[in-house]
Amino acid sequence: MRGAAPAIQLALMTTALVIGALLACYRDDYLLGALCYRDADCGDDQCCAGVRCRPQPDDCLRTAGVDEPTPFLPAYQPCDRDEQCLVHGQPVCAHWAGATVGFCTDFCVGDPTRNCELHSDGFPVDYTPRTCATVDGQSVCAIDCSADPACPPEMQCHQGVCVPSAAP
Amino acid sequence: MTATTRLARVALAVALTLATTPARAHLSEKTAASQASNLSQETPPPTTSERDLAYELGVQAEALGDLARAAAAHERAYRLTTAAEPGPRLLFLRASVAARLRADDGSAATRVHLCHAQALLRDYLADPALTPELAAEERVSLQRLEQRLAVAGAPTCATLLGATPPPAPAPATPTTTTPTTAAETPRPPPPVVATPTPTPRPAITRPLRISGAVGLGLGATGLALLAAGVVVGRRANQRGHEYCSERATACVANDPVLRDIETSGRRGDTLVRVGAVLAGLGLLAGVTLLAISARKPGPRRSALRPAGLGLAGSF
Repeated sequence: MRGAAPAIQLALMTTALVIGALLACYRDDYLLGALCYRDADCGDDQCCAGVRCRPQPDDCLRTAGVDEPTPFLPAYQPCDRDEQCLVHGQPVCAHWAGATVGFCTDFCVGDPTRNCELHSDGFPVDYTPRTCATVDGQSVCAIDCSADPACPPEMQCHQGVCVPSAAP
Repeated sequence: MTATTRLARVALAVALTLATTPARAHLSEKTAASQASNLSQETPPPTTSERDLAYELGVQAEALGDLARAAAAHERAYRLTTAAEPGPRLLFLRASVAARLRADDGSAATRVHLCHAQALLRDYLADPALTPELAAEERVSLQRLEQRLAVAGAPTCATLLGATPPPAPAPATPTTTTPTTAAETPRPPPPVVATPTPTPRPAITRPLRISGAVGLGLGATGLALLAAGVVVGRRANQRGHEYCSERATACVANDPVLRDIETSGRRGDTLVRVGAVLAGLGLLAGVTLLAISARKPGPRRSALRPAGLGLAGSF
């Protein structure tokens, strides 16, 4: 019994500390995809990649020069649920106009040609026709094909917006 | 031991004296005057005030942890009490025996305390007027004592008591020395096998218990802080998601609303961390102190109980 008492005390303390650590529950992941100017604008373990808050480290690696437009690889990739996009810092899986397959994107804000991500393929690197599309009452970034039906590979033009043609 | 407790014990002894032989309970000049007529009809005690003083000295010595002196003083009070006062007599007897038992730590040097207790109990039980009810518990006590004394190779009580001063000195003043100091008592040869007995410990149970309770209180406060931090943090999360996910357009990271939410969330995290540390340390300290206090009961309580319980049945 004497030997058990310190173990119980240690277990109590450890349990309290572990619970405390686990329940240190403030998560600033709601800032992912928010418009930002510098890393300090974003949350912990986030960076301001381009003009959006993205999770470190993988999605912060924008290899181009500082002023050079750089595509964001996860953008406009096919998805089913928001969670699939959030891991890359994009908060929305947008299902445009009844399309069966959604695409990962950000909420739109301001000028889409400056605040929405470039696509990595199918267009000149510094030019992706972008627009704001309303999905479920929210404005999201999308690739515009209303004037030119051309879309990146594995995407198709659906009512003026490029949507993935295949499920993820 | 607080002054209140000492006063209560003295008051208990006085009350017992008054209850058994009201005529002899002249503890003060005023009481003595009021009881004068009754005193003339019975054999007066040696000097009751001297007995009270002896008992008070015993209580004080016990509070200071001087068990040998306490036992001697209680024994003095016992010997100053006649058989006509069975209540106080038993109280003083048990107080002295209990102090002797706790003064013995199993070593040869303190074995003499057991001998004194044995002699005292035998003296008490030798009274032919003693009723079986009053004698029963003391007989059991004497048997246990003699079992404790029955250590092979240890010096006999005759040897020990023959070489020591009389067991009941007259502590007229608080500066009276104990009869069995190291300088006066010749050291008997060490026993071959010494029965381990609990050593007397200072009366620290109550402070430990209080400290333990304070520790547990801090732990509970820490848990409350932790819970509050969890609530604050989660609420901040919810507000952040609502603000950024449920609006028509993207939120801006340096939005003052988001800054407020972030500040609130970080405050919640701080509460959780502080609460977790406080809870851990508080619970650890509280449980430890309470465990220690439970393992080391105070000597005063164990000394008082037998006398109090025994006396309750005697009257």
